[in-house]
Amino acid sequence: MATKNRNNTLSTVKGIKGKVTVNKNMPQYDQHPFFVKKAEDAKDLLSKVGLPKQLSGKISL
Amino acid sequence: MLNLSSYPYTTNETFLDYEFESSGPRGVIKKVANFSKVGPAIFNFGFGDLDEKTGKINDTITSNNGDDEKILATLASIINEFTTMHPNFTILIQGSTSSRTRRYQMGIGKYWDKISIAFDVFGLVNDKWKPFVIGQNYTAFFGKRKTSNPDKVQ
Repeated sequence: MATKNRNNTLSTVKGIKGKVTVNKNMPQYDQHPFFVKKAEDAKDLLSKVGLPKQLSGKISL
Repeated sequence: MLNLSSYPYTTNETFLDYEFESSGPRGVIKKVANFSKVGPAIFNFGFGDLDEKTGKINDTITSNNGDDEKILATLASIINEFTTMHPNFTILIQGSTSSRTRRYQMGIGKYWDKISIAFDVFGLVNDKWKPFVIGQNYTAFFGKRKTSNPDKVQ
């Protein structure tokens, strides 16, 4: 799905109007304190309110 | 997605992290977005401005760069891309402020005729999830691509 360029670090994903570039050197943000806090807030919310009834049989917490 | 004007964006090989640049009267502002796993197939979608000098991310400031619609379209495109790759994943979205949540709500409502074809969307009201209805105020959103129509929103 991705076409790698000469330096093998940037790839263009086809089929989505040329908007997406894959850069394997781009940082991962999942351990950034901002997103860690957001994820914890989300977990707190889901533990409080649960899932939509319509989806609770299809997914789980 | 939805044939709206949006910014090009970059992701890494995890397809969980995204970057793009807002460009307008206040200059170039780097935006970052991330899908954080909060359940077996549930991901929280977070988004903010990255200060490249400090490394801090802020989602409470209003950048006033005159491109709100284009930013929303870019976020929609990112979500569309992510859920196309992972159609069984569900996405949770909470605005950092009531005004930003309302902005998301208006964005969903504006293109609801197309979004509703491909996604089941629920809004949180009084701590209960309800199927999304245009005009209702919500405090969070939960979306899952419809299995009967897994194609991208056109």
